[in-house]
Amino acid sequence: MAKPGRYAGGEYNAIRKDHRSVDVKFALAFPDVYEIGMSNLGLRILYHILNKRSDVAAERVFTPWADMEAEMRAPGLSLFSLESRTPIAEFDILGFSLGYELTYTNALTMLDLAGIPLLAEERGVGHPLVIAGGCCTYNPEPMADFIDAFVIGEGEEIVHELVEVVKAHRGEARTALLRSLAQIDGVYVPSLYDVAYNPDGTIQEVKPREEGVPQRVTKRLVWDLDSAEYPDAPVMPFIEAVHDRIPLEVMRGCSRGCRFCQAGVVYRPVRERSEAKLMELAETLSRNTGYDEIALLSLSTADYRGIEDLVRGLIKEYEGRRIGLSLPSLRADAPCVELASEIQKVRKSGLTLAPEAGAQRLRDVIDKNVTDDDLMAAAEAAFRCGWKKIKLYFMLGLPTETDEDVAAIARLASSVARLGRRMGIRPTINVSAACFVPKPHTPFQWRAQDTVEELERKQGVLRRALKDGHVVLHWHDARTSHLEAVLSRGDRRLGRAIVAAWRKGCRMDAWHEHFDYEKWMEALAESGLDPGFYANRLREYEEVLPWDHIDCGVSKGFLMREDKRAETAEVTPDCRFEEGVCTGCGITRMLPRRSAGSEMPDVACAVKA
Amino acid sequence: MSRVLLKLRKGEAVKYVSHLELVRAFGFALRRAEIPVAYSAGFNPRPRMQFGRAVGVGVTSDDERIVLDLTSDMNPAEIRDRLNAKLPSGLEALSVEAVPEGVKSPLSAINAARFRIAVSCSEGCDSEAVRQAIDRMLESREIRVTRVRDTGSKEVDIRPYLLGVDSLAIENGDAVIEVSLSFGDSGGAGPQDFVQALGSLVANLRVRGIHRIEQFRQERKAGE
Repeated sequence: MAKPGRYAGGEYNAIRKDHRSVDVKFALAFPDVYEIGMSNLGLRILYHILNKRSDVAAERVFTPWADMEAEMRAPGLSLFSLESRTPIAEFDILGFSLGYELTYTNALTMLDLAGIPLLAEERGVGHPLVIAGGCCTYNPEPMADFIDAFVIGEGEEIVHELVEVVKAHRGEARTALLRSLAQIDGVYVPSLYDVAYNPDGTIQEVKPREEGVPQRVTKRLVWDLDSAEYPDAPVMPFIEAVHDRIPLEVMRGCSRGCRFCQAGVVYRPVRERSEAKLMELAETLSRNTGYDEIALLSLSTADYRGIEDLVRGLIKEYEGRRIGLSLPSLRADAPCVELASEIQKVRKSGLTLAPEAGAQRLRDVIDKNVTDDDLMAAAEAAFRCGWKKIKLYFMLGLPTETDEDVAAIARLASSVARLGRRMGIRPTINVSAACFVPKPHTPFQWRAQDTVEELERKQGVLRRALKDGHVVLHWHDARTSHLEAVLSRGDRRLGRAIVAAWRKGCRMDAWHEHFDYEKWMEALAESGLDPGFYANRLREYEEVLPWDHIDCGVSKGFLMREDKRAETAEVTPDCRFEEGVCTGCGITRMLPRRSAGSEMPDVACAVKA
Repeated sequence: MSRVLLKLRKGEAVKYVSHLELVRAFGFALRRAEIPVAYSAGFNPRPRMQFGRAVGVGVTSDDERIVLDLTSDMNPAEIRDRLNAKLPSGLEALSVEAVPEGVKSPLSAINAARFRIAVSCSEGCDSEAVRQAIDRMLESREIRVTRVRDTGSKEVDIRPYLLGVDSLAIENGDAVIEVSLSFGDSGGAGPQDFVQALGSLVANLRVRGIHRIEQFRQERKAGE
């Protein structure tokens, strides 16, 4: 068996409780292999918060790799938790973290190996409550058949409310439990909603089945990151995880407004941790882990308001203790590269910059406010600071893209390579070309994805245009991106295709060695569904979208305006960095009401209600 | 700069942890315990720790040896206690002793180890059958076993490395054998080799557990 450490448990900082001393047993499930799941910050936060409660035991479970699944099925072994090796079916709550659509079949594998019915409607009092959170739940519909309740938004506070409701309804009928859960702000119970369809297959209406169930479910968020719980003693895997480093989340949200980016919308507004709190967390985390690297995490860490002071403070404190820093997300401009250079004394790996598009016009379409000059200056700084390897990240198939735009990727990459050679080095420029996937809750949510054939044709155009010996092209599988578009923009009817694909043997779809596109296409066809309807169709603004009843705080009107501006390549300013600008994204309506004696949270939003 | 030799227990809870993973976990524990370990010079400094011969995955041990270079003196007992407060459960520092200056690496002298191997037979172990099999092994001039690697399989004679069988007991129907095996630069035998050889003499033998009791220096006999 490969990597038995995936199933061993017993890691330093893992928490094992006596089940007789707790009221609620909570299985935190990540539908991918151990080493991927263990790098997930959300899972670590919930593990920490739940286990701090004396009445809850939270334990982890991941998807067994194919070899282990076979080992378990032969003797009929049941899926178990890592901490106490308790069968998952014996837990009160099974909570999935859904962060990537191509892990959906893994969730089914886990339910099945646990002996829990796949369909929510077939589960009753004796089964765990099956819930799901994570960014995929901003369109919960494709997984609606399998999940009893979705948690929309950030979990730090709502998870306590869930536990209380489950405690209060112990032994009662599932319907009573689900009704109570639906009363929690941010909880979506799909079985309490009816979906009606138009003759053309689009959605006519999604409406609650009964009184008291909310029309729309609004995401939860945590206003004050300084007082929010943070995992200060994370579990230390024996086996090498994807990231072996201290995860220090410096802020949440991003105000840049790239029009393809779902995270940039759903994690609004921007909230920062204070420098003092971050220094305190860094100290505790370094003592409790022994890691030698602190990663400053966020969607765009260079946009943290006091980034230079923070970096200076951390270097001063930790350089002598052999703890380094890393900045995983880098803006493509020279000051950022110089900052990264100051931070990473050892050029361990290449530097990644993400222009996303090759042509200025197309970067304006997606509102990526980076110019050719910025990029060349960033590359110049990188070469000057000692990097020889630069990775440039692009997307193919962006709205309004022409072959000329595709060729511009090659031109830009060659100019960077030429610059390197002029500076007297032999650079390696890795061009990574992903395929654009229009995502729910983004300005491009109405847009059609290019067909697989068109994406592959554009990959060919790019390949032929790249002639520089120092530029290496890597592209993503267009078929994987196509399925991602189907699953992320789909409706409830997709549930039957997901089961059908799983029954055909689809597993670990995010792993190219397992991905089986043909089986997926068969499953969709047998379920009477056309993938093109979901992925490749331009939707009307008037259409009811499958996720319209999920409110991420940003208004549909704003997304529509942004989509129209994209059509004319009009950029939108960043409200955090341009004085007096409010883009009217709508998130301010979520600001907590000012009440007597309480201060407004320090939200980095231009308009403070 | 001072140097200490540490003996580590690798218990049941961590027996599936590979050697590489053990090295990682121990490195993190050293930092948590704030042991003043020295770092190598150069571009990418690493803690100066040397691990002795590792047991295989699935094998427990009461004698994993690690040599640490320290930048400043720390009382061996304090090192042991600090580490034990910060090691994952299943790993335990059993002893720490200072290595006198001028002594070459205390790891290179080791060339033998004693193992406790528990095996079961299909219908409970008959001590006499196992005893006879062991006697036959000890009497033979040659014991051939096949080692399968990714690169192919190879037949080797392990008789020169079988130093002796120290005890045999029957516990709950399992045979528990204590055996000493040697290893060195030119070759050696591991507990799996011994089990394979025994398995060719006793029907339906299954391994229940392998434990390394201790490592030691076996002086060469004259003529070898």
